[in-house]
Amino acid sequence: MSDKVKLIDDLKEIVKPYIQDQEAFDNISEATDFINDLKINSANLVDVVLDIEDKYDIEIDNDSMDKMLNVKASLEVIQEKLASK
Amino acid sequence: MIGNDIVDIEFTLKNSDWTRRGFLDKIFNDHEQEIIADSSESFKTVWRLWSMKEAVYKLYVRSVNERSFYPSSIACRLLSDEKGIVTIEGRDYGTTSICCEEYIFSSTSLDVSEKVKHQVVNFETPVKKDYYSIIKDQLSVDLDWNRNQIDIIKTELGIPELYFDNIKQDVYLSITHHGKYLAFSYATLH
Repeated sequence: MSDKVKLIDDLKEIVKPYIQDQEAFDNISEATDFINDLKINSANLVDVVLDIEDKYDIEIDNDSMDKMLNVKASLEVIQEKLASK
Repeated sequence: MIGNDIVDIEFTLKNSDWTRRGFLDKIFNDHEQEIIADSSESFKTVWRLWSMKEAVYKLYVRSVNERSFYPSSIACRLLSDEKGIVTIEGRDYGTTSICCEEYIFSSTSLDVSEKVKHQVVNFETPVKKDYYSIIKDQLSVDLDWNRNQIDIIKTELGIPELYFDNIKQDVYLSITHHGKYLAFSYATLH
């Protein structure tokens, strides 16, 4: 399993408690938008960011959090933070 | 332009934990965290500030045509139980909040404050899809338009626009839903 596939899998686990659109969740891909597709409410988006911090033991600054509205951007932020650990 | 946000209190109690480590720091600046610490109703204060940010953020996205997610760069001040001021990029926006036992509803507007109408709809169960039909029903009555000719279409940025007979109308529309509450605000420009 490539790193990216594993990351998407992990991310899927993380967002699972907050999603409100099961179909979009089942078909999750890099293009999936947290709000428009998964219908995660914006307060829970903060939980997603905190869960990601806990899982990878990374700190996500506000500039990075700013971008984390979809799977692709979130993966990029996680990879970047992991690389600079 | 207008923006609004509703917070379903029961739903929030169940689905969000504002006391979670790191949560306040991700959303609120030092001044706002002081307001929360000093408040006798911290839960309500947290979610009122949140809804103010969300409402103004929506208006802001409409004005700059760009989406982002950075709630702590949006700064709130409270003037009274209802009124507040939210600053984004050096610009102040006035907000009005209604806090009751069931929900907190905040709204903001530019240029059209006198003419904005707000509607809060209570569903018995959490709102899923197709709540547009409810909004269309209401607008049809309020504006005296034929229901079948009304369309609500979202732009790429997720901003709802109102169409009548396939023609985009000069009506600002803002829609918010959370838990079992749906609220929409609209203002006609002339």
